[in-house]
Amino acid sequence: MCRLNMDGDELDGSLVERLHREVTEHGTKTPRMVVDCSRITKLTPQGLSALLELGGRVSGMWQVALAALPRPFLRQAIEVGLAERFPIYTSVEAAERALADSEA
Amino acid sequence: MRAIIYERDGHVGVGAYDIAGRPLLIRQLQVLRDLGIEDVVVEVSEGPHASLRASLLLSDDPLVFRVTVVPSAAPLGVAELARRAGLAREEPFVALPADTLFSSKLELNAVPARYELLAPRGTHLPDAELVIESLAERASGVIASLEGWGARVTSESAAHQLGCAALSGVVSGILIHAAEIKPGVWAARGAKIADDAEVHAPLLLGVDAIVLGRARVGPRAIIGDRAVIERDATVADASVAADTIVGESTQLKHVRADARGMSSFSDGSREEVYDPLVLSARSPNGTALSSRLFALWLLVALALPWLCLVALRRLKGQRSVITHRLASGTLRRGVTGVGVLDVVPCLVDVVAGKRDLVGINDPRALEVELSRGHESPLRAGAIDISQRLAPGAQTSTLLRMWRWYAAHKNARLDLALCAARPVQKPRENR
Repeated sequence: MCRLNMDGDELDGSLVERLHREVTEHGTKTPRMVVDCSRITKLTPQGLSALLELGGRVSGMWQVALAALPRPFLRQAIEVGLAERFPIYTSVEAAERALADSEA
Repeated sequence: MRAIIYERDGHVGVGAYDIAGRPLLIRQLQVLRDLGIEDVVVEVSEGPHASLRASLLLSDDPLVFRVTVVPSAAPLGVAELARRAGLAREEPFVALPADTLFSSKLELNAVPARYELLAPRGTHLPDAELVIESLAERASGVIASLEGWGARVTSESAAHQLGCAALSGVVSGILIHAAEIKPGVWAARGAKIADDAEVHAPLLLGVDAIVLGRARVGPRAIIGDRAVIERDATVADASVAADTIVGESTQLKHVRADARGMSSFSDGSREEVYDPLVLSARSPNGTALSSRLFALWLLVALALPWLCLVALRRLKGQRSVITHRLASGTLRRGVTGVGVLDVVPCLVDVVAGKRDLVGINDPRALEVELSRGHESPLRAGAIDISQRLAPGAQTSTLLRMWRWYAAHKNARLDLALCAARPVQKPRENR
């Protein structure tokens, strides 16, 4: 299992593209990943839709969980139904514990 | 101690049901706060009113300051919800179903414990149950009774019944945010009742609600904030949503009415009402004045010179290059995504208020569920941005983003989307 960090504060198409590359790269070593979303402070519609698309692509191949979504991100995540594409945890530690338990 | 409010299968979204002027979810947080529990984990499952529940829980209201929201695709169950919220295995919590409201002094030191709470007398609501446990010690076995009351609210009808019981004083522990102007009749700040209107207890009039002359309101009526009950209308055993106008001589009974229609209390079925003289919105969703003025300016700026040029060419006996190319189909669509042939009637529609300047023209947008909680239904626009919201995305993603757009539409977002480069419509893969 590994932890991935969103390396920007604006969720746009290019950030999601970079996340996709990281998931693919780490996915060769582990099927379980936790994405730390705590740095995201701004969202774009293109970023949200790209994240939805990414969730559809990775489900079934890897277990990718989103964690520590700030409140504005959380509200928009609920509005677009992001929980149907990714399991969402309140903290990175909770996600890592849960994925480790499922690994065991 | 913390509390977790978890969704039940088959009753997702009941937290949005109105109980005497406040959603059930808010009532639950008020009860927990009165017990000294402010750290609450609330599950928001995909389903009816998810956006509304999210906006309630993630607002700046001090009541929700220490609420942790866990979104889910479907009800997770108590244990998984506690794990996603990061609760330690030994940490005790009160597990409250999302459809349950109660008023009782809980013994928070007894862990684990299962409690049964009887429904208030005089109501026909199911009894309630709640547990206090931890992930390490799950509650099972003997159910103890508690003083007080508890009820399961699984429908609009049940919510209405409980609300009316609170208004008439049958049920204690539910705070009414209004003044009791006569026994069982509650009026919130700014509510107005005409002198010749009839009011019967139990009744709640919300903030700035208006009851006009010869209207009959109550018994067992809950009128939402800023709603208007027009002359000779009757509302009894019914509730009216906020910002709804109930038209003259309209009679509402055993329903919950809003600007777009009504839901029956008996079977939950919904009927859309398209006659604005029966039900309408107090603030109708129309084209913004600024958009209409801009469209008028565009019409004058674009169409007038072209019309003059065409007329001049005809007078000289010359064929217009533009009209010839239009007829032959060689004139390409403009960068706005609207064909040159279509732009003039579109702008006329905007000036007339029949469509927005920027909107979504895809007919699949009509399938976006209005019951998901967003206030503004999608409207067609002279400039179609349906593909710019989710470039290259699948239909399922497009539908979600259209729902998101309906909730967030404003001039700045429209400008940003118009400035984005258009993409080809993606092929359907699913």
